[in-house]
Amino acid sequence: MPVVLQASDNQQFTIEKAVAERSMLLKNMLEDVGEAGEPIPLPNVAGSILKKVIEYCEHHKEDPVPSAEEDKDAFESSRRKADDIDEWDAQFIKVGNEELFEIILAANYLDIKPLLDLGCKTVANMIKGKTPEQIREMFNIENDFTPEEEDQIRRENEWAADA
Amino acid sequence: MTTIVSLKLDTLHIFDGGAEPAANCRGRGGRVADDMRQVGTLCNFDNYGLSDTSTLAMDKARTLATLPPELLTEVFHCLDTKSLRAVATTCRALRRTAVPVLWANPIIPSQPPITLERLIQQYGVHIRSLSFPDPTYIDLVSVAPYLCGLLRIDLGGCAPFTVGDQQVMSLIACCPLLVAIDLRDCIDITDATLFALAKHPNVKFLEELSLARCCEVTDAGIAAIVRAANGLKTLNVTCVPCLSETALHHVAKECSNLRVLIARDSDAVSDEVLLELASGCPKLTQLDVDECLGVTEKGLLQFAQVRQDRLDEAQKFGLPDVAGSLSLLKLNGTASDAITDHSLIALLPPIDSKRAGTSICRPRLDTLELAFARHITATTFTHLAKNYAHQLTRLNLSNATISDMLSTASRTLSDFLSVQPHIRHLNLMGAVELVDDASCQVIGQTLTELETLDLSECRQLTDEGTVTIARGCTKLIDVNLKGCTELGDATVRAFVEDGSAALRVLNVGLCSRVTDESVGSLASLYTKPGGGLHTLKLSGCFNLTDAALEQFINLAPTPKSTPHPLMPLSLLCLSGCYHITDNSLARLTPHLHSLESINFYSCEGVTDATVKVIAEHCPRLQSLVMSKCRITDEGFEAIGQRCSRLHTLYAGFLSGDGPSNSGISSVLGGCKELKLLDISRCEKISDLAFGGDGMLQVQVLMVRCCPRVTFTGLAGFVERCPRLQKVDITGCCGISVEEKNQLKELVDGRW
Repeated sequence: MPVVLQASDNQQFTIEKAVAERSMLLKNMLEDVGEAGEPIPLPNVAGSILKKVIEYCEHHKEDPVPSAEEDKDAFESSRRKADDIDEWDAQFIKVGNEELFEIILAANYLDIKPLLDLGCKTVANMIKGKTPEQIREMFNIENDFTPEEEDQIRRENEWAADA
Repeated sequence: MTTIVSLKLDTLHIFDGGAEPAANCRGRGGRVADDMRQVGTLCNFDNYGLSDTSTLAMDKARTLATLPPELLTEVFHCLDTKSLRAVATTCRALRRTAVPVLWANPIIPSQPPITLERLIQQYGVHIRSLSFPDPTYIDLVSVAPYLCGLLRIDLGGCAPFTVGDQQVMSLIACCPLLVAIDLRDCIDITDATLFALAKHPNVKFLEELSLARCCEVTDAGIAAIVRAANGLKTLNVTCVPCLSETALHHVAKECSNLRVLIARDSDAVSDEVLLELASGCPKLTQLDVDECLGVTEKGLLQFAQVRQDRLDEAQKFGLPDVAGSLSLLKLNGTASDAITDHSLIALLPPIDSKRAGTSICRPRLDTLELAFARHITATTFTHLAKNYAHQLTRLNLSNATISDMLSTASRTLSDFLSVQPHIRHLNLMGAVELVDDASCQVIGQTLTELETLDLSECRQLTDEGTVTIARGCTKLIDVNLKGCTELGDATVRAFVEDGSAALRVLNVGLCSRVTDESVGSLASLYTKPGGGLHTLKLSGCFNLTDAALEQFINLAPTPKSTPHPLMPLSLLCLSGCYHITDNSLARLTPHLHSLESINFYSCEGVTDATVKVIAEHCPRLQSLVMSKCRITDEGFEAIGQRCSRLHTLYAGFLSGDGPSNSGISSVLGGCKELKLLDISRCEKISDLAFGGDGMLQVQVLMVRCCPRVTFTGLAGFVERCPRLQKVDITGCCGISVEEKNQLKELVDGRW
């Protein structure tokens, strides 16, 4: 039985139930409403992003669904290994900053833990090893510290810096 | 916003919005870095370092800061510390999210260039209460301006000789809100500080002042301060030798609000002064006059009578705020004929039921201490049991007797204890006639809240009594059974198997029946969560062998793992356990990272090998007793190189050849905080041992029986040690009688 999703711009996507169930939000929703066949509106997600998300879910539809406990453990351990991203995922997530953030927000909204992890790790990898100035440039961040605050932070970083 | 309300070097009390303590994080040892981390972890740093929190105006393309904080936190958790710190430096919004993650990771490097002064400069304005549990060097003059919100300061823990008038006066000038000042042991303080304090604009709000052992303070200083600070509620003038009755005369005249007077070992306390205090300070509820020999029975009776008169008067005219009874009475070591049934019953009069319910303040009798009392009988105890049952939390009858028929003395005590189930601190040291196995039964069955117990020297106790205590008193923290010579393994085993999980201090010194088996089992206390001893005293348990420590060693981790969290032992005394050797000690000590004091006096099998291990692995070591062991230059050099915190070193009468000059000068050169040095009968050393540059902190030097040491060498040493109080040169045949007198003059002349 296919499931129909409707993005914020009214674009509709018809997908297999197994694909939709990668999202905990949709899985619970489908259990609740049964199989009504009505399109499920997702007002927080634009069509272009939803398409990307579905692409991810299609690819991973065969993955075992971790139980809540394992999920937690897996998540904990994933925190420590930000750089082990599988090859397909790495290609998949090669997108612009703006799209990347949209994907993270959508994964969070739809509750797709592995995709959320992938997004967060990707952002983390972009930040790693950069100077504050490089980070600002990369993410278009405006430095809003006053000179006094900057001075204090600089001093604080000095003593905290690994000797 | 969370505020640091109280900052101690080893304890941080964090109060959330002024409510109950939200967290109280302990970590002995007081490295500032640890504390910094605790500050960081525990405080909510949401506005830290930022004057404005509202800026997030990024209308451009989506940027990192548009992710909600919980997602940013996920991202930041994937980062290393350095990158995280870079993110925290980009903009305010990201900083808000990154800093808590940053602090959640242990980021403090091993040797951070941070000082207590800098810590205070950064957080000082939030500090309301400051104290120093470990001896601390701090430049008060430079930090005073940052402590403007301070309410309570305790300088008693500052390193000796670092707090003088100038330091305290600058603090007083910068802290307008001070209500409590503790200057105990600040021996350089003079009246000048008190005069300055008396002129402080808010001195009338001062409530607590401690000048214990401030030996320069005189009557004039006390007169000035009590005249100005007439709101004073607590005054401590313990052991201030220059004070006379005049000082307390002023206190009685000016301090009508005084609640607590502590004046131990003071010549200022006399019968006449007590009389004046009774009428001048009607709210007094705590009186501590331990070791004041000027007090007689008559004085105590007059004091009690005047207080009773004031009370009657107050009730008649409805005056509020007059204390109806005492909550604390301490007469330890006061002239023994002053403490009689008569005086005690007068001081602690019957509770009059007709008066109940009036506005008279009638605190419960919390503390009663009557050490060395010799003239009280069962009458007193029957009276107290009747009128003050279920009240005491602290009782001290050490070395006291109940002068009835000896056969009933222990019965009297047992009956009294059975109506005082809330006692938490009980001291019956040397009260030989009062304590037997039967009274132990009562303690074990009744005093279930007991935390500290001293039964040392109660020689007639057997395992039967103490086992009951071990099983019944399940909250015990500190137990002293030293010199209870009949006790053996059964007692120790009872503490291990059925005893309090909170037990931290155990002294079974001179209990020579204790063997390896039970002492070894003490190691298993460390396997309970949060359990295990901090202090273990086994002096004179001469049956112990290396096997006793084997179980402690087995508990320890493999060499590769981190410092063992289960071995917080800070004091270990094996004095006279002469079967103990390097075989156990050199293997155990690498695991004792918290060790502050160790004593293996007379263990001849202990050599340089153990000392070197201790020097390497025990960075907190302050006291080392290795007299009569087999130690040479190698050991002394290791101490000099590594033990920078050492303040006490007993190394006299060593076995073998002992150290040469180079060993001793290495210790004097490296241990800059050394205060006591005993190198008696180090026959190889000569004047050269004391050469070298720089001033030393040594206060006591013992060089008995060192034949090659001469007057010239010691006179030079006296010059280097401005704090030197005593040089013991008994049996130094290189020094003539005349020179000995000259040396004594050199040292005494300064004091």
